[in-house]
Amino acid sequence: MKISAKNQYLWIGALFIAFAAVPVFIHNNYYITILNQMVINMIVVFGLNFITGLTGQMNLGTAGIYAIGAYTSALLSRNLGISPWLTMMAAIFAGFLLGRGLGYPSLKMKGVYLSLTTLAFSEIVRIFATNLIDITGGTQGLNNIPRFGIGPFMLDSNVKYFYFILLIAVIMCVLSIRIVHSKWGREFRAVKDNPDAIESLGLDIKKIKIRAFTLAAMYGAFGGALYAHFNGYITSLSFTTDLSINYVIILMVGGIGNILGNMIGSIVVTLLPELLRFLGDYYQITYCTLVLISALFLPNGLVSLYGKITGLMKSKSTSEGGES
Amino acid sequence: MKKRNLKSLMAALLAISMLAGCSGGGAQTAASNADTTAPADSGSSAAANEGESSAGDAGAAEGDTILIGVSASITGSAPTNGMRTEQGAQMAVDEINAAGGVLGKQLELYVADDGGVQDTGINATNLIASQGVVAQVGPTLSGLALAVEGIVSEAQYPILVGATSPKLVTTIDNQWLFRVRASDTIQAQLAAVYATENLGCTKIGLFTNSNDYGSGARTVVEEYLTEKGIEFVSESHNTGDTDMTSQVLKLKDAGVDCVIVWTDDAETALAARQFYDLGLDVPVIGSTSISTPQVNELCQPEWLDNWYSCTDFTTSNDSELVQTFVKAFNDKYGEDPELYAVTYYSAIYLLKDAMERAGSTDPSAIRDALAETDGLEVPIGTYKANDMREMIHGGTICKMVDGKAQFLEYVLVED
Amino acid sequence: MSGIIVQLIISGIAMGFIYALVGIEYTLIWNASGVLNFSHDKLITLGAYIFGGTYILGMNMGFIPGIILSIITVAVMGIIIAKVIFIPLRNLTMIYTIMATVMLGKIIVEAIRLYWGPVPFSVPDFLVGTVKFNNIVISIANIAIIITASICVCALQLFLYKTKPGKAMRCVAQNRNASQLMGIDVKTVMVITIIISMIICCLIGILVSPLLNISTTMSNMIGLKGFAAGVIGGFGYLPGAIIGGLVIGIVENMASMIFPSVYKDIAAFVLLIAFLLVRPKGITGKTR
Repeated sequence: MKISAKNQYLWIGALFIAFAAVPVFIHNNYYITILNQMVINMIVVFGLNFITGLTGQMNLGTAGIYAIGAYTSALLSRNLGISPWLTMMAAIFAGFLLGRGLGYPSLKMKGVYLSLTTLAFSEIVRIFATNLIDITGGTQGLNNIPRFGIGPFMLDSNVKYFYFILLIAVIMCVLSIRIVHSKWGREFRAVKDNPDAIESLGLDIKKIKIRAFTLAAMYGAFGGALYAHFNGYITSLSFTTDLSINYVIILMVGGIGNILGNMIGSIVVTLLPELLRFLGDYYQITYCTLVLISALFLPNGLVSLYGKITGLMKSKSTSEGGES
Repeated sequence: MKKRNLKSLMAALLAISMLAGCSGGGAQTAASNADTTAPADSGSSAAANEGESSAGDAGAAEGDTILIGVSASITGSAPTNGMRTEQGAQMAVDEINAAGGVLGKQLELYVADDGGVQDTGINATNLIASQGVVAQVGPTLSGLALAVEGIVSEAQYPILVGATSPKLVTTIDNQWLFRVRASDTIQAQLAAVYATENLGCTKIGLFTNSNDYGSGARTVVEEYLTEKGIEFVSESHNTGDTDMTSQVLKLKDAGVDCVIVWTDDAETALAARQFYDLGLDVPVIGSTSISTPQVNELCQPEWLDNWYSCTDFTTSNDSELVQTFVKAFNDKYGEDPELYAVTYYSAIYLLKDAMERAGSTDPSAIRDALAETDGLEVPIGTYKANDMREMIHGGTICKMVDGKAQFLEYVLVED
Repeated sequence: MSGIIVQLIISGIAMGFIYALVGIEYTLIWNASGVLNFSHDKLITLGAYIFGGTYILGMNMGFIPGIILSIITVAVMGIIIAKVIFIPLRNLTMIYTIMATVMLGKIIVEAIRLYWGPVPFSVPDFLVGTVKFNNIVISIANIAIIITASICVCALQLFLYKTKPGKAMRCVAQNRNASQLMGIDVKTVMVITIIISMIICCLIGILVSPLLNISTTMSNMIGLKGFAAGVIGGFGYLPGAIIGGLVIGIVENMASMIFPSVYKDIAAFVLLIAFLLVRPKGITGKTR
């Protein structure tokens, strides 16, 4: 089942190159917008992977985190005229604070508490965003959020913006890979697989979880900020529990704890509902059924198919059984 | 063992969907071409023209049909609106086609679900834009309209929205965006004027939804009342709230002699019951929701004894145009039409009118014709474009009698 | 002013019992299978649609036969859902169980929209009206809910402590693997639990339909607050859910006296986070 690390990097690289090539062939704004959404989702899910994928703690508050990132960057750049470069840093910092603050109460205990607190947190953010109309614009939203440029190059078209966030996604991806294979990454995985060992080594599980959650919050807030500047418009209608759930679906469909899986999940989950539109009235129900089936029958996600397929081709798999 | 077989079957199924996702350009363009032929259940005979309509950007305009996009919330939290939107637009198209079409061509709808959320809504409009439509109607949610207005101005075709937020004219100036319903500014002002002048109320309670619809109206009414020096108390609730006891009690405790309720369908019905149960028996002026059949059916008639409604449309308006429309809609769908049906029914007729006046299906010619609309009579009222590209400038006042809206008067508001 | 406060407390208690029933219904499944059932609010909606849409408005039945038939219908559905969704899920980690139940909920909503149509409706003359004591008003539907919730808790406690299947359910809740080794048929116990939970969901749906009207989104908020009620009362402890529900119902109404009413939903969620911070075992201090 397991894809060797080297192979996996090859695939990740190939996927990124494929991404970069798409706008050369497709000029349709519809697909370019979906590409942007895919890559933003990817960045958020790289982060979610730390807490939900590696340490196995269910985070259902991504929408709240994402919203905080989006509003932080949008408000600072739109109302105070600060450069989006700085406001995006501010969004990441907000994510950092959030991870620390919210991680503490919810991660000191085992079980479902993180999912319930993060869910509650996300609702709190949404209710505030809806009602603090003077600041957030409520459901009428904030428009005229500026796009920005790199030196003289303005990222004024969706294609240019796509290449910019693709570059960021590559950086975040490399960062993720480095973290996963560092001491931190090993500790994260140990929280899920072998919590007793961590305690016997004298490490603090709670601190490790909070670290993973903080990373998730930083990635999520960054994703939110990129989203705000991409659309130029945000409304509190977007940041619902459904959005949080969508990110967990991406994680699950692709393959939990696997960076290549995160990428595949983002591609499939973002594109699938759009591809199913031809089903008319039945497209949502079909989409949900496909996801339900994948939860029940494909727990290691789409990446595990790779192992199965190559296993079939070689007719004898080299490694068996382990979770990726 | 059985389970394992099933597993590999499912795995294969997902693999196929994944491949469809990954295979990039070829598969996607093929899919988008296939889409052109599948607008949800359009009654028109489209068989003859598939070739042309997928031929490219200008293709639709040059073929035998004229393609119009519809962005409707078919799934999501407001599915009724989506269904009515589709029904209203489809009925107009069928009528127009039966009468010979526009400029000798048949109309055809391309319906995309916006799901009532931003990303799906943006994708829906992008998808519509990529089909080579000459114009688009919907979305209805103001948030979605604001999110997609940039797409249509880039794609350069007119969009007719039923969104009512004042922000659509105060914060943007999009030459391609037209509004086919009265702005909240107009409706809310109507409510405030009616409460103070016709009903003679001196202390007004405001009970509004915190979403764009309610909060937009609240701002307008509060400004008006402050200007006139009339006392008011303001209470809000969120979409999806079920228990409004505390708001109702606060209004009652403040001793208001009239309440203006501005909220969506579900919450209007809940408010009507809770006002009645908790004994807040003062005249109530509701938004358009309270006059719609789907809300009336959720209420016992006695709850609505003292209710009025400021609305765009009521089936009890006895003008011939409205009654013909109501009857036709009933014949076709077996139900009374409501706001969204009439909005988009009328919008399609507006497009027809504009295309005929322009004598062309070129999007910018249609836009110019739309901007010059002056006095087109449709069931929702009289369309007359102003500088802000708003089409409707008045509203209807109804009184609720036996749980049904009764037409009182149509009021024109000067901007 | 004091009249308002009394009325708010009464209304809070009335809402609290709804949250409590929701808390009980998901706690049961959690205990039996370790699955946090995120489709529970949609199951409530489904119950309301089966009762109102099919039996009452569709077939013009009386209310009592309608309720009984609805209960039988959801019980049958419970068996199917248990076999297809919950039993395969019991050995998976939490992320799959949560996602699968969320998707089940979405599928139910879409199926409702396609089958019964998107237009909300209500059941005429079903539990409408109010009872007044001086100035204090309480609706008949709320009284029905309070009575049902009390009966449910008593009956469940008796069932869990006095009957054999009930005891088996408690064993499974304590330790699934050990119960299996002791010869308890865990799958059957799960099916029974899910049926009971589905019946409670259906009852909630029927009883709140006069209060909330029947629509696809009717139970979203009570679903979320039911989760909070369960946690505040002590996760997995049934009588605790009632206390948790009442606390939320009263606190959110009191909060609306101090803060603008739109923020009252936040009270429940802040309470949830605060409890995890200070007293994670809930008010009653008992779990499971």
